[in-house]
Amino acid sequence: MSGPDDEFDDFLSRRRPLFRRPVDDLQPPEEVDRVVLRRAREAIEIERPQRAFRGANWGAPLAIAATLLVVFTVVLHFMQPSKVLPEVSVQQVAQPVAAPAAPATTPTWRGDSQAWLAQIEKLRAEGRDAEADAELAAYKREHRALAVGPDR
Amino acid sequence: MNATLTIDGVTSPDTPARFAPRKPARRVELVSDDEDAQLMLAYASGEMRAFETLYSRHRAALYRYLVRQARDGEIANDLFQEVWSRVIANRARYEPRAKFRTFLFTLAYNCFIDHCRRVKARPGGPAIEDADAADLLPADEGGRPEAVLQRDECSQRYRAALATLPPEQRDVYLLHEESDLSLEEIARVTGVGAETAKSRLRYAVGKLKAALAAAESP
Repeated sequence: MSGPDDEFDDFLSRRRPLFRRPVDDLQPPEEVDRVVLRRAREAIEIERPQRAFRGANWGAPLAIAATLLVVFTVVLHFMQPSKVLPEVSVQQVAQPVAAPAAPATTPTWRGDSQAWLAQIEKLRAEGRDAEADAELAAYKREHRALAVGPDR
Repeated sequence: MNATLTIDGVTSPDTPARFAPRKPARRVELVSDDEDAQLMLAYASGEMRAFETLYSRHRAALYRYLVRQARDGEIANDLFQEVWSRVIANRARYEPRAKFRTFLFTLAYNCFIDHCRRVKARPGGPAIEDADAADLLPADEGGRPEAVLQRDECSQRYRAALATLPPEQRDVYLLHEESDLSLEEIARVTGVGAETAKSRLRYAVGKLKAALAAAESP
């Protein structure tokens, strides 16, 4: 039985020797060619915008989440100070009191030499001689500094 | 094996002029022996010219196969477009596990079987186009009047013999004739073992030879 087997294997190895000629005229119609190529082109052209749109699909939820986060943070920021404000104001008031802020305690009468002298007289009249002496010494220092400062 | 392929340089000798490349060459790196698979991957990544090359290579063989299976030009046209539509639709999922030609003719075979299921019958009777007449004689006899007459007679005998083949034998025979696939690949396409495919092909060829010999004898 090797004869038919060999003949058939020879047929297989030669490929198409029996019923074909090298050039076959059977071709698909040109219209079919155009349809296929148009579909192929459209498929990849449609795909490109879809890819760009896919980015927006996950970008939109991300943008919404970021917006909500910002809004929530802002709302929280404006709600928090209304509760904490009294405590903060007490601290702010307490700190200047504890600090030795000498310029803040300067009496108003020292701005005017007549008022300053009147205040000294008033202190002596009230019997507060120590304070009157201290004010007078300060008055003299002030006015001596003014007298000798720019001219010397 | 790595090689470099110029898409413009891979058109087959019988490629029609309308498929001849027009734009400057673009280079595609090959990573396997199957250039068609690389062209398919290039098309999947957006290279239309790769598809044009692929199409020009396989359109004629695929069309012949479908015409001879369907035995009706209109049905063959529809099936032809359906096969390529499936190629296009599957481009993103395509993986070059086998030759592209195997992939293509598997789609063609499945499209034809689906068609037969839809119409609940396989086409019967000889209705192949007259172009088949040219297949039956050597090319050097093609121009003489007696050769033309003999060609017509051979064509009729051939079509009649082909029509008498059982469907599974005709499937294997037409795939062997038109697809250039090996027996193992034909077996994969038709979903049978390689020995079964070889046996069917052997029977088909034997019946065709016998039919043609009987018709030639006085």
